[in-house]
Amino acid sequence: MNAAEGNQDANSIEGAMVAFIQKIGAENPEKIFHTRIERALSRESCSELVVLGEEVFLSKSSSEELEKKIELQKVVYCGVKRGTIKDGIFIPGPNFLNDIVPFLDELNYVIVNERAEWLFLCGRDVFKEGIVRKSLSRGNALVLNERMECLGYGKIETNGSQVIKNIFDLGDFLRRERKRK
Amino acid sequence: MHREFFLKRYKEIGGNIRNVQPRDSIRVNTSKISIEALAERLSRKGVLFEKIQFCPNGLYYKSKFSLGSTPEYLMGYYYLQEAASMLPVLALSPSEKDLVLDMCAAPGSKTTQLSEAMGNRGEIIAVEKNPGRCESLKNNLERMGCANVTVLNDDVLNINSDEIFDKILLDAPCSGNYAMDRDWFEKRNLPGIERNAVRQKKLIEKAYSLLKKGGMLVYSTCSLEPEENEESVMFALSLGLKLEDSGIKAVEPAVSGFDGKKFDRTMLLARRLWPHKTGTSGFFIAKLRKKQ
Ligand SMILES: C[S@@+](CC[C@H](N)C(=O)[O-])C[C@H]1O[C@@H](n2cnc3c(N)ncnc32)[C@H](O)[C@@H]1O
Repeated sequence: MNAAEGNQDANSIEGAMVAFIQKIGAENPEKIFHTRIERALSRESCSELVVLGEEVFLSKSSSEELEKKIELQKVVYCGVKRGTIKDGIFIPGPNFLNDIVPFLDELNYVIVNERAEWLFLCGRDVFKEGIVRKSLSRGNALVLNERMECLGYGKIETNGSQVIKNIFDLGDFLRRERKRK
Repeated sequence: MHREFFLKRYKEIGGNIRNVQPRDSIRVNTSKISIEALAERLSRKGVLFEKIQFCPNGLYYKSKFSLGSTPEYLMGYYYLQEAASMLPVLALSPSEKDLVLDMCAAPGSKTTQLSEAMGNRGEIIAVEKNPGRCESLKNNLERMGCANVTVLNDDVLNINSDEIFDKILLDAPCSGNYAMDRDWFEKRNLPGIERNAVRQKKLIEKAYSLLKKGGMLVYSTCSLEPEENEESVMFALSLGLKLEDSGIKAVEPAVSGFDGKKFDRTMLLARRLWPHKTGTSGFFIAKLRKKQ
Protein backbone atom coordinates (compact mmCIF):
# COMPACT_ATOMS: atom_id res chain seq x y z
CA MET A 1 0.00 0.00 0.00
CA ASN A 2 1.73 3.20 -1.04
CA ALA A 3 1.18 6.53 -2.69
CA ALA A 4 1.80 5.09 -6.11
CA GLU A 5 -1.54 3.31 -5.83
CA GLY A 6 -3.25 6.67 -5.92
CA ASN A 7 -3.06 9.10 -8.80
CA GLN A 8 -0.27 11.21 -7.33
CA ASP A 9 3.26 10.31 -6.40
CA ALA A 10 4.62 10.90 -2.92
CA ASN A 11 7.05 13.64 -3.99
CA SER A 12 4.41 15.80 -5.62
CA ILE A 13 2.15 15.47 -2.57
CA GLU A 14 4.96 16.37 -0.19
CA GLY A 15 5.68 19.32 -2.48
CA ALA A 16 2.04 20.42 -2.25
CA MET A 17 2.19 20.14 1.57
CA VAL A 18 5.35 22.26 1.69
CA ALA A 19 3.67 24.80 -0.62
CA PHE A 20 0.76 25.03 1.83
CA ILE A 21 3.13 25.71 4.75
CA GLN A 22 4.91 28.34 2.68
CA LYS A 23 1.63 30.04 1.84
CA ILE A 24 0.86 30.24 5.55
CA GLY A 25 3.92 32.45 5.94
CA ALA A 26 6.84 30.13 6.70
CA GLU A 27 10.21 31.25 5.42
CA ASN A 28 11.61 27.75 5.76
CA PRO A 29 8.65 25.45 5.05
CA GLU A 30 10.81 22.38 4.40
CA LYS A 31 12.20 22.54 7.92
CA ILE A 32 8.70 22.64 9.41
CA PHE A 33 7.53 19.88 7.12
CA HIS A 34 10.34 17.50 8.04
CA THR A 35 10.20 18.21 11.76
CA ARG A 36 6.47 17.60 11.63
CA ILE A 37 6.84 14.31 9.76
CA GLU A 38 9.42 13.14 12.28
CA ARG A 39 7.12 14.04 15.17
CA ALA A 40 4.22 12.21 13.58
CA LEU A 41 6.51 9.26 12.97
CA SER A 42 7.68 8.89 16.54
CA ARG A 43 4.22 9.54 17.98
CA GLU A 44 2.05 7.15 16.03
CA SER A 45 4.64 5.14 14.09
CA CYS A 46 2.86 6.31 10.95
CA SER A 47 5.30 7.06 8.19
CA GLU A 48 3.93 5.98 4.87
CA LEU A 49 2.12 8.45 2.66
CA VAL A 50 -1.01 6.85 1.20
CA VAL A 51 -3.44 8.42 -1.26
CA LEU A 52 -6.96 7.04 -1.57
CA GLY A 53 -8.93 8.95 -4.19
CA GLU A 54 -8.36 12.59 -3.23
CA GLU A 55 -7.64 11.83 0.42
CA VAL A 56 -4.12 11.81 1.82
CA PHE A 57 -3.11 9.71 4.84
CA LEU A 58 -0.04 8.92 6.86
CA SER A 59 -0.16 5.24 7.63
CA LYS A 60 1.90 2.74 9.55
CA SER A 61 4.33 1.00 7.27
CA SER A 62 1.71 -1.56 6.46
CA SER A 63 2.79 -5.04 7.32
CA GLU A 64 3.19 -7.14 4.21
CA GLU A 65 1.58 -9.99 6.03
CA LEU A 66 -1.62 -8.00 6.40
CA GLU A 67 -1.58 -6.95 2.77
CA LYS A 68 -1.53 -10.54 1.66
CA LYS A 69 -4.42 -11.48 3.85
CA ILE A 70 -6.84 -8.64 3.33
CA GLU A 71 -8.07 -7.19 0.09
CA LEU A 72 -6.57 -3.75 0.38
CA GLN A 73 -8.27 -2.31 -2.68
CA LYS A 74 -11.36 -1.89 -0.52
CA VAL A 75 -9.46 0.37 1.88
CA VAL A 76 -11.08 3.79 2.18
CA TYR A 77 -9.22 5.14 5.23
CA CYS A 78 -5.97 4.35 7.01
CA GLY A 79 -3.81 5.79 9.76
CA VAL A 80 -3.95 9.55 10.19
CA LYS A 81 -5.81 11.64 7.64
CA ARG A 82 -3.69 14.62 6.58
CA GLY A 83 -6.04 16.32 4.13
CA THR A 84 -7.11 16.19 0.51
CA ILE A 85 -5.34 16.86 -2.74
CA LYS A 86 -7.17 18.45 -5.66
CA ASP A 87 -5.52 19.53 -8.91
CA GLY A 88 -2.13 19.37 -7.22
CA ILE A 89 -3.20 21.63 -4.34
CA PHE A 90 -3.06 20.27 -0.81
CA ILE A 91 -5.98 21.18 1.48
CA PRO A 92 -4.99 20.23 5.04
CA GLY A 93 -7.28 18.66 7.60
CA PRO A 94 -7.27 19.45 11.34
CA ASN A 95 -4.60 16.88 12.12
CA PHE A 96 -2.09 18.50 9.74
CA LEU A 97 -2.96 21.99 10.98
CA ASN A 98 -2.45 20.93 14.62
CA ASP A 99 1.00 19.65 13.75
CA ILE A 100 2.16 23.03 12.45
CA VAL A 101 0.74 25.05 15.38
CA PRO A 102 3.97 24.56 17.40
CA PHE A 103 5.71 26.65 14.71
CA LEU A 104 3.32 29.57 15.13
CA ASP A 105 6.14 32.09 15.60
CA GLU A 106 7.10 31.51 11.99
CA LEU A 107 3.56 31.56 10.56
CA ASN A 108 0.66 33.89 9.82
CA TYR A 109 -2.06 33.59 12.42
CA VAL A 110 -4.95 35.30 14.17
CA ILE A 111 -6.20 34.51 17.65
CA VAL A 112 -9.92 35.19 17.99
CA ASN A 113 -12.35 35.72 20.88
CA GLU A 114 -15.12 33.27 21.78
CA ARG A 115 -17.78 34.93 19.65
CA ALA A 116 -15.58 35.10 16.56
CA GLU A 117 -14.55 31.48 17.23
CA TRP A 118 -18.17 30.38 17.08
CA LEU A 119 -18.86 32.36 13.90
CA PHE A 120 -15.73 31.02 12.22
CA LEU A 121 -16.77 27.44 13.09
CA CYS A 122 -20.10 28.20 11.39
CA GLY A 123 -18.19 28.92 8.19
CA ARG A 124 -18.04 32.73 8.52
CA ASP A 125 -15.05 35.00 7.94
CA VAL A 126 -12.99 36.69 10.69
CA PHE A 127 -13.51 40.44 11.21
CA LYS A 128 -11.34 42.98 13.00
CA GLU A 129 -13.57 43.12 16.12
CA GLY A 130 -13.08 39.40 16.84
CA ILE A 131 -9.28 39.45 16.80
CA VAL A 132 -7.37 39.30 20.09
CA ARG A 133 -3.87 39.00 18.62
CA LYS A 134 -2.42 38.58 15.16
CA SER A 135 0.73 38.20 13.15
CA LEU A 136 0.01 38.57 9.46
CA SER A 137 1.97 39.18 6.31
CA ARG A 138 0.54 37.83 3.09
CA GLY A 139 -1.13 34.64 1.80
CA ASN A 140 -3.06 32.42 4.21
CA ALA A 141 -3.27 32.38 8.02
CA LEU A 142 -4.16 29.91 10.77
CA VAL A 143 -7.15 30.82 12.95
CA LEU A 144 -6.88 29.88 16.65
CA ASN A 145 -8.97 30.42 19.75
CA GLU A 146 -7.61 31.92 22.96
CA ARG A 147 -6.62 28.47 24.20
CA MET A 148 -4.36 28.21 21.15
CA GLU A 149 -6.49 25.48 19.60
CA CYS A 150 -6.52 25.59 15.81
CA LEU A 151 -9.97 26.16 14.33
CA GLY A 152 -9.01 26.21 10.66
CA TYR A 153 -7.42 28.64 8.24
CA GLY A 154 -8.27 31.28 5.70
CA LYS A 155 -6.99 33.81 3.23
CA ILE A 156 -5.63 37.14 4.47
CA GLU A 157 -7.75 40.00 3.08
CA THR A 158 -6.25 43.41 2.69
CA ASN A 159 -9.35 45.51 1.93
CA GLY A 160 -12.44 46.11 4.04
CA SER A 161 -13.11 45.15 7.64
CA GLN A 162 -12.84 41.48 6.92
CA VAL A 163 -9.42 40.18 7.90
CA ILE A 164 -9.53 36.45 7.14
CA LYS A 165 -11.69 34.84 4.49
CA ASN A 166 -12.65 31.37 5.70
CA ILE A 167 -11.21 28.51 3.63
CA PHE A 168 -11.50 25.62 6.08
CA ASP A 169 -12.88 25.34 9.61
CA LEU A 170 -13.69 22.43 11.95
CA GLY A 171 -17.42 22.98 11.38
CA ASP A 172 -16.76 21.09 8.15
CA PHE A 173 -17.26 17.86 10.15
CA LEU A 174 -20.91 18.80 10.67
CA ARG A 175 -21.45 20.15 7.17
CA ARG A 176 -20.17 16.88 5.64
CA GLU A 177 -22.70 14.92 7.70
CA ARG A 178 -25.56 17.26 6.76
CA LYS A 179 -24.68 17.05 3.07
CA ARG A 180 -24.86 13.27 3.33
CA LYS A 181 -28.34 13.38 4.83
CA MET B 1 -50.89 -6.73 18.49
CA HIS B 2 -47.07 -6.70 18.20
CA ARG B 3 -46.82 -4.73 21.41
CA GLU B 4 -48.72 -7.40 23.35
CA PHE B 5 -46.59 -10.13 21.83
CA PHE B 6 -43.38 -8.42 22.95
CA LEU B 7 -44.66 -7.35 26.35
CA LYS B 8 -45.62 -10.93 27.09
CA ARG B 9 -42.20 -12.31 26.23
CA TYR B 10 -40.41 -9.55 28.14
CA LYS B 11 -42.52 -10.28 31.21
CA GLU B 12 -41.45 -13.89 30.99
CA ILE B 13 -37.73 -13.12 30.83
CA GLY B 14 -37.21 -9.65 32.26
CA GLY B 15 -40.21 -8.48 34.26
CA ASN B 16 -42.62 -5.61 33.69
CA ILE B 17 -41.02 -3.13 31.34
CA ARG B 18 -41.91 0.55 31.32
CA ASN B 19 -41.07 3.43 29.04
CA VAL B 20 -37.58 4.71 29.58
CA GLN B 21 -35.77 7.63 28.03
CA PRO B 22 -32.08 6.69 28.26
CA ARG B 23 -30.00 9.52 29.71
CA ASP B 24 -27.80 11.56 27.38
CA SER B 25 -24.14 10.68 27.67
CA ILE B 26 -20.71 11.32 26.22
CA ARG B 27 -17.48 9.38 26.17
CA VAL B 28 -14.46 11.60 26.75
CA ASN B 29 -11.56 11.15 24.34
CA THR B 30 -8.80 10.99 26.92
CA SER B 31 -6.18 10.78 24.20
CA LYS B 32 -6.95 14.47 23.58
CA ILE B 33 -8.20 15.88 26.90
CA SER B 34 -8.67 14.78 30.52
CA ILE B 35 -12.18 14.13 31.85
CA GLU B 36 -11.73 16.87 34.45
CA ALA B 37 -10.55 19.48 31.92
CA LEU B 38 -13.43 18.77 29.55
CA ALA B 39 -16.03 18.74 32.33
CA GLU B 40 -14.67 22.04 33.62
CA ARG B 41 -14.86 23.66 30.17
CA LEU B 42 -18.39 22.54 29.45
CA SER B 43 -19.62 23.16 33.01
CA ARG B 44 -18.71 26.81 32.52
CA LYS B 45 -21.19 26.84 29.63
CA GLY B 46 -23.88 25.43 31.95
CA VAL B 47 -23.65 21.70 31.22
CA LEU B 48 -24.18 19.40 34.23
CA PHE B 49 -22.29 16.12 34.47
CA GLU B 50 -22.45 12.91 36.43
CA LYS B 51 -20.02 9.99 36.16
CA ILE B 52 -21.23 6.78 34.55
CA GLN B 53 -20.27 4.22 37.18
CA PHE B 54 -19.55 1.37 34.80
CA CYS B 55 -17.53 3.31 32.22
CA PRO B 56 -14.40 5.15 33.35
CA ASN B 57 -14.51 7.70 30.48
CA GLY B 58 -18.29 8.07 30.35
CA LEU B 59 -20.32 11.02 31.63
CA TYR B 60 -24.09 11.51 31.78
CA TYR B 61 -25.01 15.11 31.02
CA LYS B 62 -27.82 17.63 31.08
CA SER B 63 -27.57 20.57 28.72
CA LYS B 64 -29.86 23.27 27.38
CA PHE B 65 -28.02 23.21 24.05
CA SER B 66 -26.91 20.39 21.78
CA LEU B 67 -23.54 18.88 22.58
CA GLY B 68 -23.32 17.75 18.96
CA SER B 69 -21.89 21.02 17.61
CA THR B 70 -19.73 22.65 20.29
CA PRO B 71 -16.11 23.61 19.51
CA GLU B 72 -15.06 20.84 21.92
CA TYR B 73 -17.10 18.31 19.93
CA LEU B 74 -15.54 19.49 16.67
CA MET B 75 -12.08 19.18 18.22
CA GLY B 76 -12.80 15.52 18.94
CA TYR B 77 -12.72 15.86 22.73
CA TYR B 78 -15.75 13.59 23.11
CA TYR B 79 -18.15 11.28 21.30
CA LEU B 80 -21.92 11.35 21.88
CA GLN B 81 -22.44 7.75 22.92
CA GLU B 82 -25.20 5.98 24.78
CA ALA B 83 -23.94 4.59 28.10
CA ALA B 84 -24.75 0.90 27.48
CA SER B 85 -22.94 0.94 24.16
CA MET B 86 -19.68 1.77 25.95
CA LEU B 87 -19.60 -1.72 27.52
CA PRO B 88 -18.60 -4.04 24.63
CA VAL B 89 -15.18 -2.39 24.21
CA LEU B 90 -14.58 -2.58 27.98
CA ALA B 91 -15.38 -6.30 27.79
CA LEU B 92 -13.02 -6.82 24.83
CA SER B 93 -10.29 -4.82 26.58
CA PRO B 94 -7.87 -4.63 23.62
CA SER B 95 -4.17 -3.96 24.18
CA GLU B 96 -1.71 -1.95 22.14
CA LYS B 97 -0.21 -5.17 20.80
CA ASP B 98 -3.44 -6.54 19.36
CA LEU B 99 -4.67 -6.85 15.80
CA VAL B 100 -8.39 -6.16 16.23
CA LEU B 101 -11.29 -6.56 13.80
CA ASP B 102 -14.39 -4.39 14.16
CA MET B 103 -16.80 -6.27 11.91
CA CYS B 104 -19.74 -3.83 11.71
CA ALA B 105 -18.15 -0.53 12.42
CA ALA B 106 -20.16 2.53 11.34
CA PRO B 107 -20.70 5.17 12.56
CA GLY B 108 -17.72 4.33 14.75
CA SER B 109 -18.62 4.90 18.39
CA LYS B 110 -16.91 1.63 19.28
CA THR B 111 -14.12 1.86 16.68
CA THR B 112 -13.02 5.20 18.13
CA GLN B 113 -13.35 3.77 21.65
CA LEU B 114 -11.21 0.75 20.67
CA SER B 115 -8.61 3.07 19.19
CA GLU B 116 -8.43 5.12 22.37
CA ALA B 117 -8.34 2.01 24.58
CA MET B 118 -5.32 0.83 22.57
CA GLY B 119 -3.55 4.15 23.05
CA ASN B 120 -3.74 4.66 19.28
CA ARG B 121 -1.34 1.76 18.85
CA GLY B 122 -1.73 -1.81 17.65
CA GLU B 123 -3.96 -2.15 14.62
CA ILE B 124 -7.70 -2.10 14.01
CA ILE B 125 -9.38 -3.21 10.81
CA ALA B 126 -12.86 -1.68 10.73
CA VAL B 127 -15.32 -3.01 8.18
CA GLU B 128 -18.55 -1.37 7.06
CA LYS B 129 -20.55 -2.37 4.03
CA ASN B 130 -22.80 0.68 3.70
CA PRO B 131 -20.92 3.41 1.76
CA GLY B 132 -22.88 6.32 3.29
CA ARG B 133 -22.33 5.06 6.82
CA CYS B 134 -18.69 4.48 5.95
CA GLU B 135 -18.33 8.23 5.33
CA SER B 136 -19.63 8.90 8.85
CA LEU B 137 -17.13 6.41 10.21
CA LYS B 138 -14.26 8.14 8.38
CA ASN B 139 -15.46 11.52 9.60
CA ASN B 140 -15.52 10.32 13.22
CA LEU B 141 -12.08 8.72 12.98
CA GLU B 142 -10.63 11.97 11.68
CA ARG B 143 -12.43 14.11 14.26
CA MET B 144 -11.36 11.88 17.16
CA GLY B 145 -7.74 11.78 15.91
CA CYS B 146 -7.51 8.00 15.54
CA ALA B 147 -4.23 6.79 14.03
CA ASN B 148 -4.42 3.00 14.16
CA VAL B 149 -7.52 2.20 12.09
CA THR B 150 -7.81 0.92 8.52
CA VAL B 151 -11.34 1.04 7.11
CA LEU B 152 -12.61 -1.39 4.51
CA ASN B 153 -15.85 -0.53 2.72
CA ASP B 154 -17.02 -4.05 2.11
CA ASP B 155 -19.25 -6.81 3.32
CA VAL B 156 -17.23 -8.43 6.09
CA LEU B 157 -18.48 -11.81 4.86
CA ASN B 158 -16.26 -11.25 1.78
CA ILE B 159 -13.07 -11.16 3.83
CA ASN B 160 -11.22 -14.36 3.30
CA SER B 161 -8.32 -14.72 5.66
CA ASP B 162 -7.04 -17.29 8.05
CA GLU B 163 -7.17 -17.01 11.77
CA ILE B 164 -5.29 -13.70 12.03
CA PHE B 165 -7.11 -11.51 14.57
CA ASP B 166 -6.30 -11.45 18.28
CA LYS B 167 -9.62 -9.85 19.13
CA ILE B 168 -12.88 -9.29 17.28
CA LEU B 169 -15.81 -7.03 18.05
CA LEU B 170 -19.07 -8.07 16.44
CA ASP B 171 -21.55 -5.31 17.24
CA ALA B 172 -24.14 -6.96 15.10
CA PRO B 173 -26.91 -5.39 13.05
CA CYS B 174 -30.06 -6.13 15.04
CA SER B 175 -33.71 -5.20 15.65
CA GLY B 176 -32.89 -2.49 18.20
CA ASN B 177 -35.12 -1.96 21.22
CA TYR B 178 -38.12 0.04 22.34
CA ALA B 179 -36.11 2.52 24.43
CA MET B 180 -34.35 3.82 21.32
CA ASP B 181 -37.38 4.24 19.09
CA ARG B 182 -40.85 5.40 20.09
CA ASP B 183 -42.48 3.44 17.24
CA TRP B 184 -40.44 0.31 17.83
CA PHE B 185 -43.44 -1.93 18.69
CA GLU B 186 -45.27 -0.90 15.54
CA LYS B 187 -42.30 -1.63 13.29
CA ARG B 188 -41.07 -4.98 14.59
CA ASN B 189 -42.36 -8.53 14.35
CA LEU B 190 -41.09 -12.06 14.86
CA PRO B 191 -40.23 -12.86 11.19
CA GLY B 192 -38.01 -9.75 11.06
CA ILE B 193 -36.27 -10.80 14.25
CA GLU B 194 -35.70 -14.29 12.90
CA ARG B 195 -34.21 -12.85 9.71
CA ASN B 196 -31.77 -10.82 11.79
CA ALA B 197 -30.87 -13.89 13.81
CA VAL B 198 -29.91 -15.71 10.59
CA ARG B 199 -27.64 -12.79 9.54
CA GLN B 200 -26.07 -12.72 12.98
CA LYS B 201 -25.20 -16.41 12.86
CA LYS B 202 -23.49 -15.90 9.48
CA LEU B 203 -21.45 -13.08 11.01
CA ILE B 204 -20.54 -15.21 14.04
CA GLU B 205 -19.39 -18.00 11.73
CA LYS B 206 -17.18 -15.51 9.86
CA ALA B 207 -15.82 -14.12 13.14
CA TYR B 208 -14.94 -17.64 14.22
CA SER B 209 -12.99 -18.29 11.02
CA LEU B 210 -11.03 -15.02 11.28
CA LEU B 211 -10.21 -15.31 14.99
CA LYS B 212 -6.89 -16.77 16.17
CA LYS B 213 -7.04 -19.87 18.35
CA GLY B 214 -7.24 -18.60 21.92
CA GLY B 215 -8.47 -15.22 20.57
CA MET B 216 -11.42 -13.33 21.92
CA LEU B 217 -14.76 -12.34 20.37
CA VAL B 218 -17.19 -9.90 21.94
CA TYR B 219 -20.67 -10.24 20.51
CA SER B 220 -23.11 -7.43 21.25
CA THR B 221 -26.50 -6.19 20.10
CA CYS B 222 -28.90 -3.49 21.22
CA SER B 223 -31.74 -6.00 20.89
CA LEU B 224 -33.70 -7.55 23.75
CA GLU B 225 -34.82 -10.58 21.76
CA PRO B 226 -33.44 -13.99 22.83
CA GLU B 227 -33.29 -15.13 19.18
CA GLU B 228 -30.68 -12.40 18.53
CA ASN B 229 -28.81 -12.81 21.79
CA GLU B 230 -28.75 -16.03 23.81
CA GLU B 231 -29.64 -18.14 20.76
CA SER B 232 -26.86 -16.52 18.72
CA VAL B 233 -24.45 -17.28 21.57
CA MET B 234 -25.65 -20.91 21.66
CA PHE B 235 -24.68 -21.07 17.99
CA ALA B 236 -21.25 -19.58 18.81
CA LEU B 237 -20.74 -22.23 21.52
CA SER B 238 -21.58 -24.95 19.02
CA LEU B 239 -18.71 -23.72 16.79
CA GLY B 240 -16.09 -24.05 19.54
CA LEU B 241 -16.21 -20.74 21.39
CA LYS B 242 -16.44 -20.59 25.18
CA LEU B 243 -18.17 -17.96 27.26
CA GLU B 244 -16.04 -15.99 29.73
CA ASP B 245 -16.80 -13.48 32.44
CA SER B 246 -17.04 -10.06 30.76
CA GLY B 247 -15.99 -8.26 33.92
CA ILE B 248 -19.14 -6.12 33.67
CA LYS B 249 -20.55 -5.81 37.16
CA ALA B 250 -23.91 -4.64 38.45
CA VAL B 251 -25.77 -5.74 35.33
CA GLU B 252 -28.08 -8.74 35.03
CA PRO B 253 -26.94 -12.02 33.53
CA ALA B 254 -28.40 -13.27 30.27
CA VAL B 255 -31.51 -15.45 30.55
CA SER B 256 -31.07 -19.15 31.29
CA GLY B 257 -33.86 -20.36 29.05
CA PHE B 258 -36.65 -19.23 26.78
CA ASP B 259 -39.73 -20.63 25.11
CA GLY B 260 -39.21 -24.07 26.63
CA LYS B 261 -35.51 -24.15 25.67
CA LYS B 262 -32.75 -24.34 28.24
CA PHE B 263 -29.53 -22.54 27.36
CA ASP B 264 -26.00 -23.64 28.27
CA ARG B 265 -25.35 -23.08 31.97
CA THR B 266 -22.41 -20.76 31.16
CA MET B 267 -24.91 -18.37 29.50
CA LEU B 268 -25.12 -16.59 32.85
CA LEU B 269 -21.69 -15.12 32.07
CA ALA B 270 -23.24 -13.02 29.29
CA ARG B 271 -24.89 -9.72 30.22
CA ARG B 272 -28.28 -8.15 29.49
CA LEU B 273 -29.23 -4.54 30.07
CA TRP B 274 -32.96 -3.98 30.50
CA PRO B 275 -33.88 -0.31 30.01
CA HIS B 276 -36.32 -0.34 32.94
CA LYS B 277 -33.61 -1.65 35.25
CA THR B 278 -30.50 0.21 34.08
CA GLY B 279 -32.01 3.44 32.71
CA THR B 280 -29.97 2.83 29.54
CA SER B 281 -30.81 1.53 26.10
CA GLY B 282 -31.38 -2.22 25.92
CA PHE B 283 -28.17 -4.16 25.32
CA PHE B 284 -26.65 -7.63 25.27
CA ILE B 285 -22.95 -8.49 25.60
CA ALA B 286 -21.18 -11.85 25.46
CA LYS B 287 -17.44 -12.39 25.74
CA LEU B 288 -16.30 -15.57 24.00
CA ARG B 289 -12.91 -17.24 23.59
CA LYS B 290 -11.91 -19.55 20.76
CA LYS B 291 -10.54 -22.80 22.06
CA GLN B 292 -6.79 -23.41 21.61
C1 LIG C 1 -25.30 -1.91 15.02
S1 LIG C 1 -24.57 -1.02 13.71
C2 LIG C 1 -22.92 -0.84 14.30
C3 LIG C 1 -22.69 0.32 15.22
C4 LIG C 1 -21.22 0.57 15.44
N1 LIG C 1 -20.54 -0.63 15.89
C5 LIG C 1 -20.98 1.70 16.43
O1 LIG C 1 -20.72 1.40 17.60
O2 LIG C 1 -21.02 2.86 16.04
C6 LIG C 1 -24.35 -2.24 12.50
C7 LIG C 1 -23.56 -1.79 11.25
O3 LIG C 1 -23.14 -2.96 10.57
C8 LIG C 1 -23.20 -2.73 9.18
N2 LIG C 1 -23.26 -4.07 8.58
C9 LIG C 1 -24.31 -4.95 8.57
N3 LIG C 1 -23.96 -6.09 7.97
C10 LIG C 1 -22.66 -5.96 7.60
C11 LIG C 1 -21.75 -6.82 6.91
N4 LIG C 1 -22.13 -8.03 6.50
N5 LIG C 1 -20.50 -6.36 6.67
C12 LIG C 1 -20.14 -5.13 7.07
N6 LIG C 1 -20.96 -4.27 7.71
C13 LIG C 1 -22.21 -4.68 7.97
C14 LIG C 1 -24.45 -1.89 9.02
O4 LIG C 1 -24.43 -1.18 7.79
C15 LIG C 1 -24.37 -0.99 10.24
O5 LIG C 1 -23.67 0.20 9.94
